[in-house]
Amino acid sequence: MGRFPVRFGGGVCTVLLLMAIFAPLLAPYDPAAQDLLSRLSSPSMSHWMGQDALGRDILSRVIYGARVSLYVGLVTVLVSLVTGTLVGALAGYRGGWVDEGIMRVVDVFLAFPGILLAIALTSVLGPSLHNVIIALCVMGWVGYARLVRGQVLVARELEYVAASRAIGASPVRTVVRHILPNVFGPVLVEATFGMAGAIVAEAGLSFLGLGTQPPTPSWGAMLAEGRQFLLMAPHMTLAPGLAILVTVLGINLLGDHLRDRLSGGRSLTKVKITGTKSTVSS
Amino acid sequence: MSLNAATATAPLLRVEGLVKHFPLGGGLFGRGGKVLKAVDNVSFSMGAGEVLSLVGESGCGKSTTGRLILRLLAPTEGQVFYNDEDVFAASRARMKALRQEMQVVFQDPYASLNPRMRIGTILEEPLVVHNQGDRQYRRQRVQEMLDKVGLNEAVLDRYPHEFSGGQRQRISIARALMLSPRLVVADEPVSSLDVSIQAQVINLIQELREAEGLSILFIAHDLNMVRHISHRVAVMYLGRIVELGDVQSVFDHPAHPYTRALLAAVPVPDPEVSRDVPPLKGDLPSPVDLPAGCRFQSRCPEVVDACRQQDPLLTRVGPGHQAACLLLE
Repeated sequence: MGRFPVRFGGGVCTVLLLMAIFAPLLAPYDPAAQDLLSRLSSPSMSHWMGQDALGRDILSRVIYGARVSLYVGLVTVLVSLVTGTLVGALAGYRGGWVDEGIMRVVDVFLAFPGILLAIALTSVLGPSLHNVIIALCVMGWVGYARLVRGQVLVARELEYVAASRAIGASPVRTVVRHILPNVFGPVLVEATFGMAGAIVAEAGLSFLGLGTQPPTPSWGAMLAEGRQFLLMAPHMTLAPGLAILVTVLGINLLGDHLRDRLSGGRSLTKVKITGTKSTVSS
Repeated sequence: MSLNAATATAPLLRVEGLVKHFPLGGGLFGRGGKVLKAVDNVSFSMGAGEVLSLVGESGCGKSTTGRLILRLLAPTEGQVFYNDEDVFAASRARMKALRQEMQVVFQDPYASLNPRMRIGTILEEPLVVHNQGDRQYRRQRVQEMLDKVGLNEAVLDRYPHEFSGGQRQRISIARALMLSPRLVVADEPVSSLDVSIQAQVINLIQELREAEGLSILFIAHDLNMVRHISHRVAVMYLGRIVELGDVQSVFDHPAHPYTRALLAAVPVPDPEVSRDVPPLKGDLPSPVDLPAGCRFQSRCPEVVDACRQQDPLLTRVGPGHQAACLLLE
């Protein structure tokens, strides 16, 4: 495999980002423009990915759909990460009943099937992109909280953390300056996987009609539309489906790479092994 | 350096009945489980400018005692008085003020410096935390301190991993002294250093002690070094002090069988010297399941029946010299 996975992952993420930012420049057509005379037409030179049930250009819709996916992924991860990190750091650093209480709440969330709660929440809040994000964040922070708590428990015992307390540094300063930097690596890894998860979840909820509402192009909603024409116009489903597949695969590969790099190179005890050369006898 | 203990005045530090039990879980919510008795009723006091060494095997509670004194751990029982002020009763603000007076140097110079911070930032942090001076003043103080510990200002922008163990320990010492404390808990400050570097760092500590008028609680297991550096010495065994006294009397007339065994185990650079005390056998018993009676009974070469029933207390065996052994009572 070598460096292919990380290159592929990095490439996918770059393309996704560029697609989302420069969608108006890249898309050959207006994603909402209908051309009812050429409904469901197959891929051609003028419409590379064909046209959907309303004659809209699928390529343009896939490009614009990247905006929705990226937006949901980024916002969900950011909100979950910040919330989860704060809660996890509090639990890990304070310990005692604070930790006990927080972790029992986390257990309840973890025991509940995530997608089911998201469906329930979006049903109650009403189907919209922002309600999807809210639903995903309600579930999302839990993983970060658990991860950060575990890391803080380890970091709390480090001698330089004790030294910081001995100096008289406040708990907030100790956590922010000396503990959280150690937590950053694993959290970053978790965030990449969280991002892929959020994109899939958004697609799933939109597929069920609980997410992005027409005419906003979302990959999940496009899948749902294409489902009715699966035999007549499989390209309608194929294009957004592939987009989801490639995006999630790419992000996950990048996450895998980050995990391998960070766990191998920058662990808490890294300083002790710097400079040691591995001696391999042939 | 003069070894006259400055104990005539009121003690700077007074430790009374300090106990630290670590619950080992087992029971629901940690209740009903076993406890590890790391420190079990430790009392001593230290005068200003005095160096008191706490010696004993690994796991005897030396480091825990040090951390309790600094209130880095909460005690199960007991009190610590700094200048007659109850440390554990201090409010958050008062504790922060007290921390300026008592500092710590840890054993492992590789673990006690944050690998992601530059040396300048590490040394400046105590001043920042206590709002001392502006940036320029702080830089100046950092440079003075580096000078005192024998490093130059070229280190300021470098990271801890760029330094050797001895250099890092100098940096740790500099950090501890940034706030001009009066008491320093030195938790095995040289144990993880090479022997050649140990002497340098010990000499540095001695110089600084004299220059700054520090009291040092020196936690160690190297008895030669303890003899060299301290005024008084306290020998700990399984969470308790078993012998306490002036360095001279403890080293020349050890009263407790454990102290005698420890001293006998010190390497002597003379192959002709014969050892009249048999070396200790067996391992340290578990501090979870302590035997009834004297805690040293399982390894004591002089054990008698009474040792299995009665737990000996520290009793006076000479001027300023106490030991906890039934055979002395």
